[in-house]
Amino acid sequence: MLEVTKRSNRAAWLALLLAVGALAANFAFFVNPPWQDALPWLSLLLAIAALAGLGIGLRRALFQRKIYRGKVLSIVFAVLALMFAGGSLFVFYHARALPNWTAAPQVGQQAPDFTLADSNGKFVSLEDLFAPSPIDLSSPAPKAVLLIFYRGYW
Amino acid sequence: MAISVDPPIASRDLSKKAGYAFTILSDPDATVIRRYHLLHVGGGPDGQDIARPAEFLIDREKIVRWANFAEDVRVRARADEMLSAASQVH
Repeated sequence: MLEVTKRSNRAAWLALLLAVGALAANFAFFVNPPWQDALPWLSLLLAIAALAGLGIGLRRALFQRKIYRGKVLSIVFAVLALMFAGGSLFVFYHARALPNWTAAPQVGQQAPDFTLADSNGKFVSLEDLFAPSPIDLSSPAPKAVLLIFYRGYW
Repeated sequence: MAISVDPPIASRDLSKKAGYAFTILSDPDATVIRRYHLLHVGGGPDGQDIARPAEFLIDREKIVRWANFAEDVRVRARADEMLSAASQVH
């Protein structure tokens, strides 16, 4: 029988590399790049590519052992890739599981009035926010107010 | 200014920590969040009802001049988008 050198299972370690990339894309939000709206899609793409890679890598490790070497290492890589890619897909899904916004006020519509307590417990209405600054009386009244609804628990 | 279900004390801590000078309002019962149709039922860390992220630019006539509704909790309106929207209001 002819002795042949076995090939390296590149798919397995490439899958791990892609999965690490998918995970890293999720952490990139913390540096707040101007193209952050592309990050979820980059993470999704890398995670899917990692899953495809680990599928090929596992098949080679388990069923094509005559051609490829490094069975144990390939399986370790594939399991890690599965964890990282799976985690990225989980985060992708949950970060986007937001309720519909079509009933919210849209451009050109009236913003509902409100009165709520500020961080000192003082009640403030939407109307009050258009008053001139109490700190700098020389500054004119604001032309517009930016209203930010956020999730809280910071 | 910003609105969340956080109590005033939590907003005060946040302002102090982050150095925010703008008004932060507390809507613990999500009354105003509901009025704006932005309630995320069970969206809080322990299943509390919270606000889904959204930003509005409102003029003196209380008309919405610009709005942004996050599709991903991690992707919010950028400062340059908001400033450019604000510069359109006269």
